[in-house]
Amino acid sequence: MIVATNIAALFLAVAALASLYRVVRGPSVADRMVALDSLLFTGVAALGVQIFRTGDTTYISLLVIAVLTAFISTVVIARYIEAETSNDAD
Amino acid sequence: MTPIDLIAAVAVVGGSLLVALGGIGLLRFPDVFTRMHGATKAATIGVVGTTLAAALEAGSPRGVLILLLVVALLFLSGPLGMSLLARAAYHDHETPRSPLTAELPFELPIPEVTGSSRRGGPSYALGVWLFIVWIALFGSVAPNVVIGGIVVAAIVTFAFRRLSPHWPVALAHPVRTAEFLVFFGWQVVRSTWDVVWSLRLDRHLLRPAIIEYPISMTTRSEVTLLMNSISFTPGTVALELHDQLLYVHVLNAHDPAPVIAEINALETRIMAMYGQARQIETG
Repeated sequence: MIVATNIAALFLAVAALASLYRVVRGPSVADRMVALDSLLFTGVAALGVQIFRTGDTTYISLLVIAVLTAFISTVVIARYIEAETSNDAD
Repeated sequence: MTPIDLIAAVAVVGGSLLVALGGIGLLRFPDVFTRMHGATKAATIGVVGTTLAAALEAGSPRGVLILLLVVALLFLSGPLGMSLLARAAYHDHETPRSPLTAELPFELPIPEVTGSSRRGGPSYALGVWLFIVWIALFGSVAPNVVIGGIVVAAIVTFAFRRLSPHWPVALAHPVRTAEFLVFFGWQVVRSTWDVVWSLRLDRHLLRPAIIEYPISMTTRSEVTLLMNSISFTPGTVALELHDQLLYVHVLNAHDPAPVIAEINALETRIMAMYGQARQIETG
């Protein structure tokens, strides 16, 4: 059990570092948004691992809320890119 | 160690591995569209894995409800957000696109648009669903929680009454719905493997493509379900819908034929799920 969560934590650390690299490097806004989404999903996965490891289910609702938030931020950034594109066209 | 512990441990390791592979996709794939396939799709399935473990650990009905909620939200909102982002990036000329991307028109007679009548009125199924979400989040059935849930569900259902979707008639037929879910689940598992397998490829060996696919479905609910299913499946993102032509970005399409066959199979099944509603509308 503990071994499994340790391995999982290692995988998630790799995912988080890779996402952070892409957030910093970009190159486009959309790239950064995809990377931020990936970072958030890494966090959600980490929360699941944490609940599994400790057996403490206090924060299990956060899983649902985090997944919802990912959607909202993605839509906002998508609208922003579209607005930028139509501004350029004018 | 019980069998359930074992399943949970496998789900934790497997799920995290998928999230890590998605992260590696962010590093290795050449442009934002291809990165989406790895990062958000593989990672989405990974999150389902770790949530499954958490739900098994909770071992309560609430844990199961949370798991179902996360899966439903990942399916409903995740692909929608990604499609919107992909669409914005597709139209934005400042977003770099892999020079190897091929644009492939797929020749099929464009079906006649018959249009559909929209009925108004609140969707009671939506209200019930919101109530279930409320109870799951609070994790209790105390009277004040139940009353609060009913009030909020009623207000939201009323506020969005004009946007209420057509529900697939097949939802009333558990066997047909289960058949679709099994078919779709298998599709997702297989294409997740495809995406993971293409991680080994060098950038210049990857052949992303934008496919043009004429759809024959007409109601918004059907099209939404199809685009969501396409975007949820790793390896394909729905980009744009224009005059009954659906544009889909494919991660690796040396041969577009199987991808088109997959989209066609999905479309046929979704239309079958709505089958009866269409007959009523046209008749």
